Amino acid sequence: MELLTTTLANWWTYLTTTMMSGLVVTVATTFVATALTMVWALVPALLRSSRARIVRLPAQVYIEVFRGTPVLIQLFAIYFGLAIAAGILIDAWTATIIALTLNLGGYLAESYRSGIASVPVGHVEAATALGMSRPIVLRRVVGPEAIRIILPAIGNIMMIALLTSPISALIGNQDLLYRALQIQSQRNDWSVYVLVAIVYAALGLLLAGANSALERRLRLPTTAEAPRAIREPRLKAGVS
Amino acid sequence: MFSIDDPATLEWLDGLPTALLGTVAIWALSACLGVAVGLVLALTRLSAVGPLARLAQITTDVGRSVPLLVVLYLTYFGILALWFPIDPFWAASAAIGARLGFLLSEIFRAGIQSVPPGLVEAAQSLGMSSATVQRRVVLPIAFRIMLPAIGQYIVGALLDSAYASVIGGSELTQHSRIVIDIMFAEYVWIYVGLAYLLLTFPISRAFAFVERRWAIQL
Repeated sequence: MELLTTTLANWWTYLTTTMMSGLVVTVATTFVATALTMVWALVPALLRSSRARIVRLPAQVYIEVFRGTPVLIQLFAIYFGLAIAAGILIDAWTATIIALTLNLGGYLAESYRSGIASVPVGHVEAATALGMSRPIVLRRVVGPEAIRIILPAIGNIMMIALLTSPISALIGNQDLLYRALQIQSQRNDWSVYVLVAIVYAALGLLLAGANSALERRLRLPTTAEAPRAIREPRLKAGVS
Repeated sequence: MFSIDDPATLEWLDGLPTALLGTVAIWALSACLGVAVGLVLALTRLSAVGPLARLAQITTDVGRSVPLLVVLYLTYFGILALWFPIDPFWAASAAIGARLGFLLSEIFRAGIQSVPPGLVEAAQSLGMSSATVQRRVVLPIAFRIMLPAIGQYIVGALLDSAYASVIGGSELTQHSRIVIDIMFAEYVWIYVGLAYLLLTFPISRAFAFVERRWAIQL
């Protein structure tokens, strides 16, 4: 019992001092990396949908390379590799953002593509047949349908960004895990690993809850839930 | 720099077989563990036993929201501090396998639930017992639906094995980091990237092949 109260008291001290600043860094890293990934992933996604092979190839290579190697290697290569090989010195936070954006961009580019590919060709043809111009088809038909696939994918990317961000502690970015490791080495208190796991779990569950709420909101009603008029359209006379 | 008589390259190539063996061993062990944990959690969640299903769901949700690196520190240093000295290899395989299991259980559950109920009813009306329905209708169809996602996570487990280097496990990333640190040869990172690509490529191709081979139209 006494062990429990002292542990909880220690945890409270950690949380209100250094770990709070670590939390801010972790949240900032997650948000900035996600926002940059959303923009950056457009480039390989658009290049990949090009008709010219010469344009498509670099995007394909990029996606394969960044999805086929560990993000840890990418981070080390960017942080240490660039610094020593090319003489470019960047701080740990910037290196983390670059690594996460490049890594997650490979995944999100695929989601962008499959989101657009998921729109049935018939819908586009129908809209075109109604006389809509190409930008209007994109804005009023393809966009709204693709966004239902793409938004959950972005939520997913944000989750991965949060769960991958602790690797930045290994290169010295002062995030949650870094603070926990610091406390552990200063006070030799192993329970801080449990605390940091709880904090990450809380952040992750919060984000997962937001994601599933978003997914519920975006879900199209099934035929069973649709109003009767849509479910059983009355045929007009003369139309068979 | 990129030549075969370069000392750093030689050094790297020298330890490569052992390092690759370590990576593949961690991957294989964690993949088996992950599939087992995932199946148990998914079937428990789908079972009729209320509290157990609830517990499995909470475990899955929490397990999926803790970063692998934190799980790794927790397993390795936690076990080390509390009970007994554990080899980094086992700690890494256990952590990666457990995390893979949490991720896969969600895929398994969704896959089993996505089998159209009409097919199950049809099988039942043909007089199949519930075990036969599972074995001959539900699982074969669910497996085909899940295959792309399973493939992605299995490849992901191979990439995650790089995390073992953090606790000093003997594998590709750890070996390369040592060579790079001793020889000041940053370009070795390119070899490491290529090695991981060569490892992941056949696995993802194999999954794509099986997917095409067993594709069905529902």
